[in-house]
Amino acid sequence: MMSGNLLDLKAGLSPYLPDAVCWPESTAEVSKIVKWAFQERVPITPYGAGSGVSGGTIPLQAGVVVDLKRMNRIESVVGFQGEQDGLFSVTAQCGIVGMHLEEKLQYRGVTLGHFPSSILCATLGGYLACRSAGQLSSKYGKIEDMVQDVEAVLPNGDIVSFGEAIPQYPHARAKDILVGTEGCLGIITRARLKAWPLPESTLWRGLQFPKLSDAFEAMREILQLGLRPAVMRLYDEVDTFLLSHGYRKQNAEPPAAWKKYLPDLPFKKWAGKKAHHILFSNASFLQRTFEAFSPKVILILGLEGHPPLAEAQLKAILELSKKRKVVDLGPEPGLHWLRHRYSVSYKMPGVFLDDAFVDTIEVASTWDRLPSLYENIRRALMPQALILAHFSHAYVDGCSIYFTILSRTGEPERDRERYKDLWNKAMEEALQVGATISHHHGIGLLKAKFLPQELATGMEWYRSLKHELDPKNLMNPGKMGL
Amino acid sequence: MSASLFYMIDKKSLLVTVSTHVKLGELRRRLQQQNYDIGFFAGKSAEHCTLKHLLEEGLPNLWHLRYGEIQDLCTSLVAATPLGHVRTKKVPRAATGPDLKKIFMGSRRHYGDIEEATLQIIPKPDCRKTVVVRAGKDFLKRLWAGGVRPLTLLRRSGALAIELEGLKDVVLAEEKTLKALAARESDARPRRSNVRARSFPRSRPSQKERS
Repeated sequence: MMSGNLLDLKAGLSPYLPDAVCWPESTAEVSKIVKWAFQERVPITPYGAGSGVSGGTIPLQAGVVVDLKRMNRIESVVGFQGEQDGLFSVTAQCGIVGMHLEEKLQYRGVTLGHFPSSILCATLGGYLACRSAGQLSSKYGKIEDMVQDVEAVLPNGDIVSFGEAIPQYPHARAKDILVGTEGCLGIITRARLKAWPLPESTLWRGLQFPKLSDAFEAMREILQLGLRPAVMRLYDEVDTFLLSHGYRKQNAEPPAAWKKYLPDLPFKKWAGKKAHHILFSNASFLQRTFEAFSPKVILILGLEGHPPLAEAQLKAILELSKKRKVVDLGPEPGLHWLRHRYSVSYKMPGVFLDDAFVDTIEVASTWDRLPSLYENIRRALMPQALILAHFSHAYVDGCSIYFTILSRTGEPERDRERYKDLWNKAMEEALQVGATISHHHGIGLLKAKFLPQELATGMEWYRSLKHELDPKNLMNPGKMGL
Repeated sequence: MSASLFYMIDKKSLLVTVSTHVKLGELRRRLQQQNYDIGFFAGKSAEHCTLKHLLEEGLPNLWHLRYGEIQDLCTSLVAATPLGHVRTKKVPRAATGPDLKKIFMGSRRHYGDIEEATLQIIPKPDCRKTVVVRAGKDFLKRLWAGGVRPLTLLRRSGALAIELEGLKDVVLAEEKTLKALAARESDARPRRSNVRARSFPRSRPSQKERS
């Protein structure tokens, strides 16, 4: 659920509810439901596991929610292209949860290479609907780079099978039209994806740089010289402080025996909550203090493959970074991240319980505009929120920035206003720099009003696609500004 | 090549923006003058094709294992459509609806005439090497599991020619890895003499056994 909805709930506003929920088990059953809805003019909202943070699965106009979680079979795992290139092709139903898919593939010695933070509570259909990205995207790419073909049910109930084109668009591949449309042009029911043999081993490293700009340049050089670490995550000053604190705490001596017998006093809880309030209410001051006293940043690397080859790549990276006064922190920061990589999202509700709010903003741009994107968004939001950021999902031509914003006003109604204000400012800055407003969370409801500016003339094209395929506007209505 | 077809090289993001009327060979020559190249090669005859032809027909890239297909190398484009000019955003990846550029590419001008493209470029590689190994059925799986990123693979009567490129030290390490993987595979393979010495149950009984 998106943070905005949690704030609405706290302010006493009731959520949107559907009239009915269906759990189909096959593409044919989905087709039957959609055909009926098309005839009866009933809105349809496709639903996976509900991990989306942009509100793409909220049934704004009620109607029927089509929950695909019963469509959870892996149908085949075969050698790709007659095993000529050693890769695999996986065919699965779209309701399968990401972790189940990955575990079943790994049991066969295969990996999809797609590890989003939401892997425990997101489905394959959700991945495809909003062009998701995993934590290993620098090596394996985003889901749109992995998908080879899709089977889908169009808004009129017709099925487009593998290898077929959408009748209205015979010269384009169905996957190119449907992937990323968040259920607004149809429901993707099955997909065929590229998969890889499991890597032999992974070498983890944490590299410390004296300045963010140095680390940022090193990251760009590593990728542009042809090296492909599977994991590449650069944390800014505040995020580095929290990361280092986490792995130092884990490696610290266990608490003295007498501490275990201390009662869990209510005072302790109250003090913790008060500390958070002070932290979030003085975000700007704290931000500058962090940056002044802890300016060092950490880059986490994960290199997959044959151990001597991974070592050689690491050596090349250290050689490249030598001029930037890099310090090798060993494997611990990387291993710490690996152990806790899915736990961050589960800490977010705690912030809401402390009468504050938190959300994440993922934007991306080419390398030349990335420093200004980072600075401008921070400058715009800093007076009202504590901002953490990391640079992950790096490519040869650019990178994504993942901002985490924490704030509080003390009143639920003002929290809602501030939340909207922060999003508006962040999106406006991103658009002004020429960056994209979403790298992998999608548009949904949250960013819908900014999509026309993002796509410019492309929006007309997208609207014409919608009009052509869904003239009654029944598929996930009210989303993506369509 | 006339300067009007060649708009700009962004050396920071390794991107080149060109008119699609430019021929691939000319673009490559122009880039090589500045120590860059394009990660696309579709045979010598394709060097005479215009970029428009490559994008609209979606010619396969012989270097796709390392650099991806032409669709992956194209970061953004401008297409003339019946609804006006569509200019896709110059960003590495996005999640803002369907990837419109992929709809235009490979559609043979049915949905839009591609006029301008921004493509990823690569720095001229430090080193290029071809390694030949004897490779069995599972060798390629081991190659990917070993983290090798080949430029091309060519199989010829039990041998595999693997072209590598990149930083010199990394290419040398990749070569060593390939040799180690090939040696591991030949150790794992049962020897012929041993196979003959052991008696395996046959799927069909021989004439003698049947009688």
